[in-house]
Amino acid sequence: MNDNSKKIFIIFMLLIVLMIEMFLSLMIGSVDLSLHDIWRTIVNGLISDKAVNMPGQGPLHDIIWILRMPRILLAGIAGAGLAVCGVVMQAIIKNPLADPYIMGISSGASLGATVAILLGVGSGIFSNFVGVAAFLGAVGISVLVLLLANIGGNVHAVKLLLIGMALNMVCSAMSSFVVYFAQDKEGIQSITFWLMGSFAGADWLTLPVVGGISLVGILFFIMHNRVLDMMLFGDETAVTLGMDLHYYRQSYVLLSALMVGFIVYSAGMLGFVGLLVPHVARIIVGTEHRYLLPMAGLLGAILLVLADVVSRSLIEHSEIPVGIIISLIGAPCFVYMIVRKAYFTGGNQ
Amino acid sequence: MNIKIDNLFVKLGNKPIIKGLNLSINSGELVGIIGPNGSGKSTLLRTIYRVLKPETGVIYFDGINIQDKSYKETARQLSVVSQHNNFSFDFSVGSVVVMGRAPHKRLMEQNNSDDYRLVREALTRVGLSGFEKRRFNTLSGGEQQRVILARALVQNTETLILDEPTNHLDIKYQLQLMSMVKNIGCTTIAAIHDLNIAVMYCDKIVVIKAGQLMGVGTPDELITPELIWDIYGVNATIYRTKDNEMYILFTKTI
Repeated sequence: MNDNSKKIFIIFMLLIVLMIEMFLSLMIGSVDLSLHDIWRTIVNGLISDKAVNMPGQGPLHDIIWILRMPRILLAGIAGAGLAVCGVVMQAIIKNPLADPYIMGISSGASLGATVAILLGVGSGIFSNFVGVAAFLGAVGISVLVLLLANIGGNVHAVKLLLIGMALNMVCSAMSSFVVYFAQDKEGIQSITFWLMGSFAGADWLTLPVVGGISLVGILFFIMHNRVLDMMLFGDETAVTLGMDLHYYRQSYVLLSALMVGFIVYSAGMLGFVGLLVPHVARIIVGTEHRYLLPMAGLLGAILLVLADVVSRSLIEHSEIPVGIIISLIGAPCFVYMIVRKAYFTGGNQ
Repeated sequence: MNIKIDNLFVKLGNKPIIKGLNLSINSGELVGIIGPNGSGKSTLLRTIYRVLKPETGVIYFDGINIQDKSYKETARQLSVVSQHNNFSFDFSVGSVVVMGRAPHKRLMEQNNSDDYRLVREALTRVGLSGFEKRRFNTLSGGEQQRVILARALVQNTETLILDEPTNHLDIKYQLQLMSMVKNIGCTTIAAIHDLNIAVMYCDKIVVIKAGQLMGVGTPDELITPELIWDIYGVNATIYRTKDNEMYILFTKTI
């Protein structure tokens, strides 16, 4: 087996691991179910003429189809989307420290959530008004970064990054301003919880939208793997190889803002995945994006599904915010891998 | 490919670097561009390979203004080996070289077995066969330059630009790289610091000083102690070997 088919094999195996993991994670929770029950309920749900998201079709059906399955799927989608966007952002700004939130998305989303929770903006209109506000904050900031970066000619990576960081600070300051003057202890607590991320809000209404956008985005980036490779070579080399990266860079920022925006909308802020999973994937398959992107997506999905299981089963009758779990499990594993594998992203070693 | 440069002006920021330069390069020639630091050699080359845009003036490839071509079209005519090749991420040698196929591919078209065959052939031609899986960043400077030359080879262009390619290389690799380039036999434009290397390999020498053309000609007719004094301000004596090859010896100035 040559090198490339080995990589394809690993990716294929991980896909199977992910599917088994998702199936098994249906078993675990405050009520432990048997494999047989799960299988029967899934099949029943699929062949039944009632919509699966209708409650009242028996306790087993409700637990599996309404409580567990949406959040497991959401965890997988969010993990894959964030990891892929992390890879893309690292390519766009040619820096291994980039993550999906770097272009102001994180503080844009936080600002949106803060305004929604503390000032109640939009509370009468949308059921998940905090998510909507966070989505608008995230995407709005990315669009603003792009518009500002376009003033005065070429949009290059450092310019995007610096404008993103500056807008990050403005948004954080505005959030702090609202928090300071609102004097609302409960509100501040719910912002803190919201920022830790959770899949508890998953439902069949938003799942197709988030899933659709994420999967289309991931496929799009995989098809564009050569452009992403080229970004790491830099603008000058790209021109001599026939590619003008300015246009791609902007459309990629926009697309990943949309993907991350929808993930923020449905699951809050989930750090870590978008920064570290790309590196783990690079340790396994190397820098070439046509293997790196699927690898990162699968690892992200596997990690978040696992983190979700742990978050809802570690302490009985209670749920730990998933963001805490990811960092607690993930970060030490990551450090271990870097130390053991003598990993470098490159540069001067 | 014939390249014609017509009354070219290039600015970097607000500073004029190339000031009204005219030059013709004929198909098949190995042209060396020499001149002191800051004379505009690199700026001229970077304008030809389209990283910089001219202020005024036109560059023609085979009679067609390059501004009327897409980057992809010019990348099929012209490949570049430059001195900056530090990547912040680590690529394998194979994936660096296969990028040379990019101008021949549609956006979503993937590389196929022919492309990888070209990569292996090119690596063999630059003396690096079997290096596909090595990490680019772990290679020596000479090996890295040869990998980039291999990338230019798979790009399969009529013309090659070498933007001070032999900087940081020791003498063996300098000679090796220039010999390889000479053997490839396509139209080549190279900015060269070392005058002895320039006269050894080039069919034609172009002298640039302060953004203007100071002279064009074969090494034999052009390079004289007077010219060297004019462009660099150093004393030099020109010797001939038994085979009548030029050798330039510089005298200490301070």
